[in-house]
Amino acid sequence: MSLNSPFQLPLFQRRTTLFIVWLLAAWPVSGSVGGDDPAEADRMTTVRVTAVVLPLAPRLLARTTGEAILIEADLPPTVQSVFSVVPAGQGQWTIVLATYDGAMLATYQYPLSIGNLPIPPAPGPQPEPTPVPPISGLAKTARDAAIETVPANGRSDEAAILASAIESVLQRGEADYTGQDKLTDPSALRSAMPSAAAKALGKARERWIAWSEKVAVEMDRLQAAGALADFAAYRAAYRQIVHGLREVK
Amino acid sequence: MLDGQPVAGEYSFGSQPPTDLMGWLGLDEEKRSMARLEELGLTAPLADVLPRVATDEPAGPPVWDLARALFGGQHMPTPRQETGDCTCVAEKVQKQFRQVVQIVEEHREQKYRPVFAPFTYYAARQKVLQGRIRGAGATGAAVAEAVTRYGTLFEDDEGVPAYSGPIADLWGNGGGGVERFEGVAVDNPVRKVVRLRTVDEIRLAIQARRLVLIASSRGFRMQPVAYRGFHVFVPQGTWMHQMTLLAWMDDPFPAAYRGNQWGPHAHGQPLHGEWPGGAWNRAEDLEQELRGKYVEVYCYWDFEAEPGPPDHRVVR
Repeated sequence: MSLNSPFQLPLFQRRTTLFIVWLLAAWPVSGSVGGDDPAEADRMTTVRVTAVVLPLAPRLLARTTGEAILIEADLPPTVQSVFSVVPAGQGQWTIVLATYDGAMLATYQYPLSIGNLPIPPAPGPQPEPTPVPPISGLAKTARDAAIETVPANGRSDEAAILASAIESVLQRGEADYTGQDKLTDPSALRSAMPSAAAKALGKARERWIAWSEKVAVEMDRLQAAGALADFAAYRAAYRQIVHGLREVK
Repeated sequence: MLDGQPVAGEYSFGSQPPTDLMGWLGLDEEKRSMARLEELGLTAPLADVLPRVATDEPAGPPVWDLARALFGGQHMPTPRQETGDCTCVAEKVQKQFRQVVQIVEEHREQKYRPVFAPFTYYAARQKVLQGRIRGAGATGAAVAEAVTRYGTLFEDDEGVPAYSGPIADLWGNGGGGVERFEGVAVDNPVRKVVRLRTVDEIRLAIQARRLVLIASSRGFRMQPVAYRGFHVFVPQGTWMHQMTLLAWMDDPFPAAYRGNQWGPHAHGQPLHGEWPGGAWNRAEDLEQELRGKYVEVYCYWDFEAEPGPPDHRVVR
């Protein structure tokens, strides 16, 4: 049996990659790729691929490249594979993946939706879209302080770098930072921030010292008010700072 | 063989070593103290602690530069012993620089406080060595046990007198009401003592930002020589003495910077802004010293210094 024979649209066979140019042209893309890592999902936000049909199905990764959607299956290089896309309604398709490892042929199906579909029937009032809450609190302080104190040239990129550095400390959780103490208490968390920030910012560190002082004043105030009472509260506060930094233009 | 003329400069003791400031009791006492320290589980091999801090990042500035950052550009003052309490004044140097590293480089929320060595001298001689030493001195292991079990008294703790030889001797012999400070000092112990046996271990410990205490019978000329652009100690004679290794360099030659505590001018002026009162000690000379019968080398891995207020600055 030919590996291609059951499928309507064999598109790309040597690598496990599927290009869907014409779908993207027809509908705006929204949603996100499934996956365990939220950061990865954020980076690759374009297409929703969910509901694996068979257990142990290969994971699909999707991203856009200009006007195209590029979908790849996570397979070892020794496994041959082929994709096909089958229409399943307005804005809905089924991706069919077939794999052959030299001994066994297997097929997998993945539902695919593109755009804000399915579109609900027209009659009746449309629900109000949930408003995005305005940036506030420590996030706003972090954003505004950056705009106020850091020179504009390169600021946005540096803010993103600093945000990632703070996030990396938060993710360390239980990791060692001095050889004995672990990041399990507020003091250890606070102490781990400057080294991570300095390492990430490099020569730009000096540009962010005034920002740091301003944010620290707000954190001092929050702490005095009892809002930073434990490790969880500190983690939430630093997450807000990350959010604010990501809003810096 | 290292040789040459001493570098011109101020030498507070001239060329004669002050033997009355040497107070290391040597190997017999050391063996007893070390066995006790290990029995109490207060030491760890380097391999147990090092992997947690091992890093491929380039070494930072020497610790004396970190201290300058903390002290407004000034060096940390070099202590000047006034009696045979070398083991405890070297321990003071080690704990003070450890505080600097913990505050400046590890960003721990701690307050720097200068250490008062005579309390440790008391704890080592009276609590650990149980008062059986008649003359001056202690051992590195006894001091290590003292700082882990009995803590640290600071110069600015209430009621602490100014340092002097007579006070150190008085407290070292259990006088002067020193025991009233036991409850104060106990809050600030050293957490772990690591015993080092090779030059490579010394290098690794220093690169992990620990200072190294070295006590031995190795003596040096008081006046170092200029060797390949650095002030270098020339081994000579016998000193029953403890000092501190503060920094390591590989180029232009492998060496540790050996700080003494006989004041800033005991060994002239270092040539590259190093901490005053010491000189570089070549790796090959250290190697030879470690092969000797009378030597003990420790570092204090973590010091429970005085907690400071929360510091919310993300970038410092």
